[in-house]
Amino acid sequence: MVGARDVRDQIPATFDAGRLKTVKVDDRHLMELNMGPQHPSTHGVLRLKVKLDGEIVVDVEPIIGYLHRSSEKLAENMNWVKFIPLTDRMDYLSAMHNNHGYVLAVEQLLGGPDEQVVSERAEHIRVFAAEMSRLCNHLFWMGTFMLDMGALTPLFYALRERETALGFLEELCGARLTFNYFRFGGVKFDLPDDPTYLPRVKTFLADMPSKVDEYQRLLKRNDILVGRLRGTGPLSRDEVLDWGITGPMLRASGVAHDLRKVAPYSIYKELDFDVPTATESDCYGRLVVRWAEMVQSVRIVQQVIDRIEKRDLEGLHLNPDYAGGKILRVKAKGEAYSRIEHPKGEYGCHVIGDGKLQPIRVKVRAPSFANLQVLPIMARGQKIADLIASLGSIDIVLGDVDR
Amino acid sequence: MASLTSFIDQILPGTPHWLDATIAAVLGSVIVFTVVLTIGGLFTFVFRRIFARMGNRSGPNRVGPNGWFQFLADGLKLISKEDVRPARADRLAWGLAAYVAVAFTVVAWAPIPWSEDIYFTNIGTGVLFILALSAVAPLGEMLAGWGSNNKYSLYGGIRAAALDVSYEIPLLFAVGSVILITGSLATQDIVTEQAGLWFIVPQLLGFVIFFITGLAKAGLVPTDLAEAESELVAGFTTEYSGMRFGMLFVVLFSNVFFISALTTMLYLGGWQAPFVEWVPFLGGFLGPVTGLFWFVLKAGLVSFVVFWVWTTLPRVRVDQYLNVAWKIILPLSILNFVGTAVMVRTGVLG
Repeated sequence: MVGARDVRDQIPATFDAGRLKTVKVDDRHLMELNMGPQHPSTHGVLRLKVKLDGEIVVDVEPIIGYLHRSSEKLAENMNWVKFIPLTDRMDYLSAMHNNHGYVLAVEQLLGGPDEQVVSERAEHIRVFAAEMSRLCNHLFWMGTFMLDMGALTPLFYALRERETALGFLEELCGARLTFNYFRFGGVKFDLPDDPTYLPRVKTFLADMPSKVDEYQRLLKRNDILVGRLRGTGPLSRDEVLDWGITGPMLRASGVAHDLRKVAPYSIYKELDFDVPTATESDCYGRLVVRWAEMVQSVRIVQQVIDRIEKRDLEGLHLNPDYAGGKILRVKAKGEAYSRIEHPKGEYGCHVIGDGKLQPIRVKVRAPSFANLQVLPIMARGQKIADLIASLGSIDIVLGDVDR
Repeated sequence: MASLTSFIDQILPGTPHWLDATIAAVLGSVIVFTVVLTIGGLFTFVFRRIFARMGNRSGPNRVGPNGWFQFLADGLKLISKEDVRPARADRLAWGLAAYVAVAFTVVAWAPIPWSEDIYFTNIGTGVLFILALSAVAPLGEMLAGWGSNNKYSLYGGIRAAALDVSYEIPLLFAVGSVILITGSLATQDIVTEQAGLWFIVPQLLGFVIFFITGLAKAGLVPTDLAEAESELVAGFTTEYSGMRFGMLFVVLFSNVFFISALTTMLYLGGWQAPFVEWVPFLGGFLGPVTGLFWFVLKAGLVSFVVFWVWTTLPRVRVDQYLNVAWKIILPLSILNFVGTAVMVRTGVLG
């Protein structure tokens, strides 16, 4: 245990630049462990090269690329619209948002400054789908995060609600995971004709905050869990800002930054919601923030449904210019960048077109990829179990990291 | 089964005593082995069903009535699997580990009193025998950890050793308190001493300590650090496949019942019927197997609590459990031991 104390002593108690450096210890004591690419807790095919001093993580290096499918390159050889299903497969847990980011970027190229490409009705349906997707993402994250902590049952509590929510999305677009729902100029399908659809969604949403309360009752009061999460994977406000961390991880460190507020897109400007933050800056804070975000997503969807029901929203769900076979003949010219608040962080999409049927470059700024880089900072000097907790708290999907 | 040797002497008159004793030993071993592994196998099914219900699912329900033969199907599957040995594994340690883990766990069952008349042996040092064997059992985990030539296994083995060292002492103190009251190490004496007053009443603290340390000793959640699926893949069992893995798995589940049976024996009155002073009917309504019924019922309820904990709690971290073991549980167990000793000496107990 002498070695263990050495490592501890060399890790500054406060957050400063010293933490960015690899902790120097006598290398003879260290064990190198390859965690993954096949490992129950790496959330896919991530490989972690971990240097261990007993139970203490001295250094960790994430090695990615095992799920690289060169989606961005494929985009250059297909019609603009055909890339939408590929975005589904990047972050397959919140496919609606991937669609949204790409579609927003292309629409900047298509529509002039005074031409409205997307109707008001389509914008509402988009936000409805996106926020339901965010709810599903956070629910699934909570379940798998608890699996990482060794608690088996919370996953099924989370899936109980997620199944219902996915059922609504299935009625909307026919798919439960890879939705392929957004189109340039709107969405693929209008809301279902079924008159009970929106009332059913409303019943589910009215119930949802009490379900979040239930999770909190079960998990917040669990001393073992709170003991495991508090102080685990700490990231100071400065560190998250330095490393360009976005999403719930940023907000868990006390920065109230949300693109839906800071740079509103779609109809978010007209909606009333809060940006939850936490001051804990650790895994516990990230859990609390995501719970609060679930409630905020519910609020947003409720407002959207009210607006759809009360107001006779203008327009079709899909701009007729891009309906039917015309969508395949879309030609775009220029360069555009869109950014949206993805459940995992800031999702950016940079598209370049030269007026042909295919883009010449599509670049996706994936939140999982950007957030994963901070893992060594979070895990250094902590235990193996904390490394797993820190990794889980980032909320990565390897499809999104590797693309 | 009170005396298997004399029973065999009756059905085989004329055979020398040493032959009777040998037959009895072999027969007894086979019975213990069968019972333990059947319970372990059944518990894999029971656990899956309880786990499923806790998560609002059905669980396995296809093989046999309500899925009760699921464990047989699993066993068949595991037997038919290839027995993969890692290329650079330490052949002796790796191969021996599974047998060590199984053998010591099974033998430790011998002195457990199933009822007044049903037990495999009632040696005078029954509790000591159980504790000694359960202290050796982690040796198998360490051997597996070392012999597998796998870093996850090694970590699992080291954790098993650390776990064992830190929880063995409070466990001994908790059991020692009970022995102070009974004044006997024989398992049947401990149960008969509890007529009227189960030891959970005077030994509530000891009961809690025993339960927590028992969970840790058996390697169960929240202290399943030696396996720690989300961290160490499968801990010391990582490199085992086929029926070798099946044996380790069954042993894990039979340990659940073992810990429950020990808890029942030490604190919950063993095979004694409850409320028998007021309702004598409870003490004999099933004739000779009444004791067995109560023992299995109590141990089953304790097992349910173990499974409940398993499905509910997350895993503690290594340093957290060491802290709890050395700084809280050990002092409390010593306090309990000393307090019991004083009470026994002054005549309040025992």
